[in-house]
Amino acid sequence: MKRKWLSLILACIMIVSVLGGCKAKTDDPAPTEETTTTEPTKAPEATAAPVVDAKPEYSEITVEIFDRGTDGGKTDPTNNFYTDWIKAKVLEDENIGVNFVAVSRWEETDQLNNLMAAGTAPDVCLTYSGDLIANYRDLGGLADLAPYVDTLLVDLKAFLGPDLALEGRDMIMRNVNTETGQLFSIPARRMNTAGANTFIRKDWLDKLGLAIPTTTQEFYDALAAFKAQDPGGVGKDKVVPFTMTSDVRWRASTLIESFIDPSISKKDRWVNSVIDRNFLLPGYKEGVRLLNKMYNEGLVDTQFALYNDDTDSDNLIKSGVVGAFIHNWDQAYRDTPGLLRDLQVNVPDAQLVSIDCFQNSAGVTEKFTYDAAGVNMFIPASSQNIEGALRYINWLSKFENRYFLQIGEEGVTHELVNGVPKMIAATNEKIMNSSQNIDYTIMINGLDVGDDSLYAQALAQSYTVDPQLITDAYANSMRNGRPSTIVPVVLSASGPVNQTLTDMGKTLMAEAVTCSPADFDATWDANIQEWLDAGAQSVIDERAAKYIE
Amino acid sequence: MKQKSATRKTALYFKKTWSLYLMMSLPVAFALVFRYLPMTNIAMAFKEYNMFKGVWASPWSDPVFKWFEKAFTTKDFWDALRNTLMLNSLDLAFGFPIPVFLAILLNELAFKRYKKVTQTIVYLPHFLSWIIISGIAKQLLAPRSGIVNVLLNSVGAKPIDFLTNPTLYIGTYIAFGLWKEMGWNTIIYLAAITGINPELYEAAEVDGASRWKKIWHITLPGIRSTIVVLLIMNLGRILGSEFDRPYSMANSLVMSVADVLSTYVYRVGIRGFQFSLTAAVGLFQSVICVIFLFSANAIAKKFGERGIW
Repeated sequence: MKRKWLSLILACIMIVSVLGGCKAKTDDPAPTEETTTTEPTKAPEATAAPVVDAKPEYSEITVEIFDRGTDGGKTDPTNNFYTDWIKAKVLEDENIGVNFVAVSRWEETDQLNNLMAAGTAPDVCLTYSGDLIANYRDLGGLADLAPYVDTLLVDLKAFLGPDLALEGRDMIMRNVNTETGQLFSIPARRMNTAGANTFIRKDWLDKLGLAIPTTTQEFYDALAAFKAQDPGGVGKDKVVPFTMTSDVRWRASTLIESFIDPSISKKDRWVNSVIDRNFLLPGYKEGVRLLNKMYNEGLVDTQFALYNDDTDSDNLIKSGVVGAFIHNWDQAYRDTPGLLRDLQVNVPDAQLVSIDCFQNSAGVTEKFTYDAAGVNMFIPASSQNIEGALRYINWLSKFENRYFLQIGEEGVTHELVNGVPKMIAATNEKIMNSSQNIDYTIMINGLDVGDDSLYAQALAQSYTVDPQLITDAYANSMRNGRPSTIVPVVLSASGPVNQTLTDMGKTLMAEAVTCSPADFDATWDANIQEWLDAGAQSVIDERAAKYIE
Repeated sequence: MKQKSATRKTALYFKKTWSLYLMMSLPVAFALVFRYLPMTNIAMAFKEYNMFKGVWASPWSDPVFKWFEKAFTTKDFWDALRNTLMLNSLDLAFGFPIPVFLAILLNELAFKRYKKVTQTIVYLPHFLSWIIISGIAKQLLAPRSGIVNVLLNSVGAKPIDFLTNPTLYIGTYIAFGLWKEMGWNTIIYLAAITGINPELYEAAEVDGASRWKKIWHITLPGIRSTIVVLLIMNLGRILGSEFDRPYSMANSLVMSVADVLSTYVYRVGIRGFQFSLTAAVGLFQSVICVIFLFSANAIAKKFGERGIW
């Protein structure tokens, strides 16, 4: 009998605990609903023309922060010296309580989707994917920010300034729907629009008595010499003259894109660039043909198709067997992944320099540069405190606030050299999780020292390598830079075909590079046709129909 | 009177066993809440799903089978379906009989310690995740730095594209699956063999049966029902597919044979924001699997086996 009672009690406890778990969740929304009805600050629609200077009643907001999963001495992105600083100062200046919500940088889209679908997304969100925003927008998930631009976002508007790509418009209005006047996202400003660079082992060139390549042919000859003569002494079968990953169109971008016909019109370029892929532009195919030739002559890493990310390719570069590669304009010199630093640990006299050798048919080393509009900020429609979120963004846009976050304390994270801050690596709790705290200073990408004439110096000083390398790399990637074409129309989300086209594009490039030269034309043409049929054609048709000068 | 005694009997039965029912109620509730209730969201496959409205507030799609039609008219879907069937059939053809052989082989070993060590070694890979195994595959078989190709290179042979040639990739994919799961299934058969009455072997010994005869007439019939149950369960999975295995093994050069339904659903549905399409493909997959499961069970019963229910 005793045992029976015991089992009854145990069973009851289990049921209560299980149901208790459910209850906590179903109970949750009720009190928040109550508070929304009692607290007037949480009804932004009702407030007539809020003013940025007036201090509002206390309210709380949540802010998305990337968790980069950085290990080794870095801090919790939601709770560290800088978040404490932000929290205290925002509370003092704006009477807003800030809570940070970590979102993995590497599963950003998936996690945001979950948060958005559950209606629990942070009040301030950001994503680099314009397409994700288009999807949310089309499904009605984003708050319209247009009414607040001249009331709550005054400082942000001033900081972003005029839109250089669209004459007569403000950058803050970049993503506005010109028909409805709605504004669902606001871009950050890139201080630096440099795109890609080509890097080469200068010590290998020197050893072979070769000059820095200035033409595509010289580049090709240098790689062939690397392979034939093994100047690094790593073993002839181990030399990888040129490394890339399965993302060929990016990791060979400057090489391939130099083959694009320079006389192509702005319109043709814009219409035929599907999801940033230039496969259909006249001449692109010839660039891939050269890569195919290089692959078949053993100048390209034969395993590139197996590299889904940069890791393997980075390790090859660091181990000292790679002759040349293409990547972000400053990739070789960044602290993460630390290509040059780790390479010099393995090969002390190694030198990686940037070169600018890919001339187009007009003899110009034309290359892409980024649009000045960077990461997109948005506020979900489910937000209970749109006004507070905007006040926070505006507060962050003020120079004194973002500048402190970017450079930190003097003597800890930076020192002043000729009046311009030079970043130094902190090791204590004031270490920055992202370079110049870019994850917190969401409206700016790159250091703004408040004086444009000091920018170049500040940029060169913001790396831990020889400033001259940075100055050269910046010059190489900006020389003959072609600003991206911006057409202010609202395109339907390419989401449904986006991933298919991205994946097919990888297969297309991998097959075209690895096939035998005799099969190249057939392989390329068949794959391009498949790509068009899989949705690229419909994207092109929409762009052609909507294009405006 | 009779009625009354029946009621009393029930009451008595309940009085005896109520605590068991009470304990059962939790797992049943668990299954209902976490297994059956979520199934209602299958409705997504027939709706214009909007993540901000939720499944039920989203409008029905027009026509109702819109997402199925869309899937069935996509080349990628058919490719993924073909690859799923092909890879799973090959898995079944090789992965099913080999553990039976291995179990019998191990059972026949006279040296027990050797048997135990072998058994442990072959079933250890089961506990590795596919991410690790795909890493091992790359280390072993990559065209330039893979150990196998380095060895081939050192003897002057040409490297073999185990991972990047579509035909060879199929072989690699099947071989690694076999290597990983072979030992695990072997254990199930070994357990079944242990259950065979040793007197049968003794009797056969007395009758002068050879080893081969004992295997054929005692061991195999003894584990027949286990074989059938596992076969039915494997057939039920013929159109299902793991995600991590094809996802981690594939690369862009072999997508034509490596893209299976689960990776297709992930790429096009989840990453491409087409949740309704995903649900439709998933539902299609499940329905086919259930049909396979039922027919395999029915056939097994026809041949006098117990089946799985």
